[in-house]
Amino acid sequence: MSSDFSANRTEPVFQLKGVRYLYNGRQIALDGIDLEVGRGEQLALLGANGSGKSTLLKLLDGIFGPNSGTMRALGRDIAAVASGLDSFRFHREVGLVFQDPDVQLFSATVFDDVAFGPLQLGLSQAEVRQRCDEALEIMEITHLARRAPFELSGGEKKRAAIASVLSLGPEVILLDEPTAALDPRSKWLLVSLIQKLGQAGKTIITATHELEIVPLIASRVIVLGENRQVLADGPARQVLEDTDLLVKANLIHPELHYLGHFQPSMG
Amino acid sequence: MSSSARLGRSPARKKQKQSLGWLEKTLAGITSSIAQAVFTEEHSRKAGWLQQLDPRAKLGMFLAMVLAGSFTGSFPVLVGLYLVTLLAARLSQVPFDFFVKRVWLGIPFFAGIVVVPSIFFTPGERPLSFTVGSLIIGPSIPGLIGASIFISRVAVSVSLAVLLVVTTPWADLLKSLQALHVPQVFILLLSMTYRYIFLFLRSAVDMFEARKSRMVGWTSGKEQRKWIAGSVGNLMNRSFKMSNDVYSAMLARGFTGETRSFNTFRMEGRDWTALFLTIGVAAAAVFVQRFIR
Repeated sequence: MSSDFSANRTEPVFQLKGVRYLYNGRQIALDGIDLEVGRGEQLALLGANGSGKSTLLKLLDGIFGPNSGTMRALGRDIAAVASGLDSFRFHREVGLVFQDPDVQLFSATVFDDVAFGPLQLGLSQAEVRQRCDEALEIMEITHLARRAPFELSGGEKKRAAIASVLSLGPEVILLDEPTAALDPRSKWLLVSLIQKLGQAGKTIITATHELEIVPLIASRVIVLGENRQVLADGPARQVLEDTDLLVKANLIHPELHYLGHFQPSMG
Repeated sequence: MSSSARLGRSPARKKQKQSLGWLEKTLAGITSSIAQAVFTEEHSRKAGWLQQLDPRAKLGMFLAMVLAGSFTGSFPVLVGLYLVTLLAARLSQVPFDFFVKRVWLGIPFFAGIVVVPSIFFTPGERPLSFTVGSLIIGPSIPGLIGASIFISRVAVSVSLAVLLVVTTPWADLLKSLQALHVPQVFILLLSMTYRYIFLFLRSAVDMFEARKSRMVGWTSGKEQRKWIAGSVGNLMNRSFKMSNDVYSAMLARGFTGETRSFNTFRMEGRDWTALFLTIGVAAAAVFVQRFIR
């Protein structure tokens, strides 16, 4: 697949300088974000509820542009992508899995949802079928292909939503709270999937506040504070061992976590 | 006297019971709509005769039989067509009582209202009648025959529609409309509407249940109306937010405004056979009805 991104492999995937975003033009959602993400990085975006994680992911996906600051993604100006310029090609390379799977599953069957992206690419029916079969198999939901989304459980919906993005074959995958409200088996399936995608060289940014999965899915961590600014940016282990920082970011609480022995890793 | 005993005798208690009954009924209605949809999808996944046919063939068969029913003015032929639909339902493993109930529960109400005046106003012999001044009131035989034909025609059409919907997943049924050159954007809108109706029905159920779990005292009719208005507004707000989010999700997967869909249908020998056989039965019914009255 040829693209600007493929042509400029040394350029960072995302470059943000002083990015500010306001909800309804008034309420601050993100304030002065500086960020650079390299190709093939696995990054976790940590932050308490309302810290702006989902908004940042939507900005990175070019769904909307910043109110101020500069933002480049895959060699393009994200504001131009958000206004529709070249967004078709951009979304071949960047896929966003929304926090609420009901938003993402808008078709009458799971298969139709997974096929939606490839069909928009103008691929042949055979190629669409192949991509869908692969994505459904990766997420272990081939048996749900003909089912209506309203019949699925929360975990199944989440897997179907991820399959609908994987079928596009994006180089960059943005995941918004992928393991929220999942049972342990579904959670582990997603963690191992993210690991596999990372090993395949994909750039993955996962927004979460589940600290136990972070060391398994990311080598670098960005912490967003409740002031909607970047509070920390560093290696996963280093950030997760800084209990003062985690308390400040409202990611752990002294009454719930024994800070002297806080163990964020599952294994 | 304890407060509960006082409550037991008060008119307020009676009023509360009525209002709770109304809420329970609404909740049960919404829940049963969801359950029925899931149940219908279950039937469409069975390995019955109609379930195995291409949806486009089924749509063609449905149209042929409905046209036959519409062009037939013979009561015995209409009964014959109804028996054919019962046989098709049996071969498709659709439970008899479910199928018959679903068809006949609505017909007396909707078709009955339309047809009752014609029974009395159609001229002809009236075996049972009474006179009021210069008026002779009673059902006429031509009126009764006309009503029977009308009701059996409605029964055949509704049975066919139910059979089509019950044996075909909604998604396939919508896609089969492409064969009739229905615009794809219209089909996409219909499928999304179907998808999100269930989401909002579930939200409504959750809101009703959340309210029910916190009902610890009597609320006035005014308060209830206020709550209902607030809930409607809340659901509307959610639907607006959801529609924006869904559109974002569509854009994120490369939606450019042009609708495309994946076609998995393939007409095979058995589909063509079933289609031509049904067209044959329909044509025969229209032909034969001229001789059987």
